[in-house]
Amino acid sequence: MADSFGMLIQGFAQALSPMNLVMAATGTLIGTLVGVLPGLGSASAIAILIPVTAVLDPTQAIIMLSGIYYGAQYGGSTTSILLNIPGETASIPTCLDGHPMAKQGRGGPALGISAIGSFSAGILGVFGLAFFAPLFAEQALQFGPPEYFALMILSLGIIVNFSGEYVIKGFIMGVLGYILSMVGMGITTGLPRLTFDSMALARGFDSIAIIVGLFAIPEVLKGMEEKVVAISTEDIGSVYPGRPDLKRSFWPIMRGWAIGFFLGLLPGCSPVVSTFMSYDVERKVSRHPEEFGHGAIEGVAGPEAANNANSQAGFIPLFSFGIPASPALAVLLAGLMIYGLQPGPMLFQQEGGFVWTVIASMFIGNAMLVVFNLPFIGLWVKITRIPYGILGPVILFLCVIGAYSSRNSLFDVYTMIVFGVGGYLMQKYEWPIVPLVLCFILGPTLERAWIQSMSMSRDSLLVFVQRPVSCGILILTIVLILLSAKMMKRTKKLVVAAAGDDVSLSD
Amino acid sequence: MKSRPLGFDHAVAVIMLVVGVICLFEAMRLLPFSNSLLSGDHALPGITGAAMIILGLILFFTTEARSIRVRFPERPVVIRLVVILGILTIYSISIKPLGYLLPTGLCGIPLFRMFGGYTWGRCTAISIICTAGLYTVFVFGLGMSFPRGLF
Repeated sequence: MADSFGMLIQGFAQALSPMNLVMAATGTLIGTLVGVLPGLGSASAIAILIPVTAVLDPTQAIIMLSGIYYGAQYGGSTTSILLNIPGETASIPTCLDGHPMAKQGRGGPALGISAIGSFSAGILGVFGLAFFAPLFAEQALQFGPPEYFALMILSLGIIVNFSGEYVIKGFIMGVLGYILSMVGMGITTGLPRLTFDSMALARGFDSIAIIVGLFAIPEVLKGMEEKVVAISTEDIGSVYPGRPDLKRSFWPIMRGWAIGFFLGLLPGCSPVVSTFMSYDVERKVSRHPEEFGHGAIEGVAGPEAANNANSQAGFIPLFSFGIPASPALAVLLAGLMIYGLQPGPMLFQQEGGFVWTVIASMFIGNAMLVVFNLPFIGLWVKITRIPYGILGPVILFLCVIGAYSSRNSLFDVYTMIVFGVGGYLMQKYEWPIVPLVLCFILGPTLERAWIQSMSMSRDSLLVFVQRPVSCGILILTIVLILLSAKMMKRTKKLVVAAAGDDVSLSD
Repeated sequence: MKSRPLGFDHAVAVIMLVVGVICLFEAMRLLPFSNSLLSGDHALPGITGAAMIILGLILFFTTEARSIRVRFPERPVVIRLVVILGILTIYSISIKPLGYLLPTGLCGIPLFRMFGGYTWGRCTAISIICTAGLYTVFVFGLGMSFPRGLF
């Protein structure tokens, strides 16, 4: 514990260097922009910018990409409150009371409490990250190939969460992701595999091209289809909430943080579950439940805190085990791997300086978000008036640059377009795309762990159940899958009650 | 908005069955290069291929029970989406022979027209500004190397 805080102090010393501060500021600004602008989610933005950050050193790049991730969470609340447009399903609870507040001319305090709630939960979340991540990583140091394989299987629990109500489709997409990851040169023989004698396929598919294709292109097409309009808002009032609002929001923020953080520790527990659970809890403990849905500030404070705490907690399974808890973190995992950093227990041992600098930068980034958001909310609202007619093509051009620049290959651009069309159709027919991306990214690690496990056990599958840790992880996987399925079923009922049957939990 | 009965899932199930069979064949092709049945480059293609066949069959035979209706946009919007994807494809193909600058400027014009419905003159102006901005930031500033082409 003392070690952790010593390392954290050193991390602060690094994170406060001018270049790292610039990267944190750039990331949070881009993230906020991505959050408030329609047509580009945080996963797509991170994917597009990973190749662009190649000119930076890995620590600076990951500080910036992490800033985009949590900055987008902040920015997303602006459109939820002012326009009743949730960027993702997890933001629906914020709309339920945030938008009625905006209609009553209290949009400012709603945005203010959302920022304060997110900031407090974010900071508490980073404290939790600093405490729990090394603890988990220490345990995971004793892991061998069978344990790593079991961990990869644990990611199947994530598939259940991101599959919405169609688990079979999620598993198919997951297996397809593994298959796509195998295209290229074989790990043990170096022979081409699933390449059909194509030189381009022999290099394998690029993760950035697939991610940009599956996330960004469908979003742009959807924006075009839905004729996204620029934001136009009336006077929102002061963004600084008064004393009564702050008093009413304190405990909802604390409860939201606890719900978001501890659910976020479960690998693959979607932020949707956290925000809806927080909203449900606030409504149940409130002395005025009749105010919910008509502008209760607790209905904004709790879910926003839960959302941000869940995002920060998601870094714990990511850094400790290499398991991402959300699409954006899956893209960040790809980014870490591209920079040669293998998330998992060894990351803390071998790249301790990097990890603690990134964690320290999250404290700074969260503070920057409040500074950038509260006083300048009017400016953000003005920026969001950029017409989609200009934004759409610019995003497409950025997608091409992102896909191309990863390996300087036009084949990757073609791949992006093919996956873009596929992603659009998949979204239309309610096929979850996150399992494909997740399994594509984890595929090589899974295969390596499988081959090593089989070699050391002379082809005995019992190796996974004979070793207590791997057996324990496999049992945990089954428990988590069942628990996830139950929680998602419950959340689905809440989502349907709040937003109708059209909303997909896999969004 | 029109509604169409679900047929897509069946098509995907069949495609996944084919993918599964291809993986199994690939596993069989690679098997002689390994001295063990469960470890080697053939192992996971074999396992995932078999899993895909099973999942594809389950999907094929269970998907009829559900009655999801998928909403597609109106015909003019679909045509615009197809044209946008067409422009994007032409753009990416033309980068190799023509370089980055010219295709970006030229393809930007119809793209801005499709998305924003602005006049051709305005689209040309926006496209030039956008191309100049992207070139300055990514090629000039960040030193990204695109094919040189004519320019």
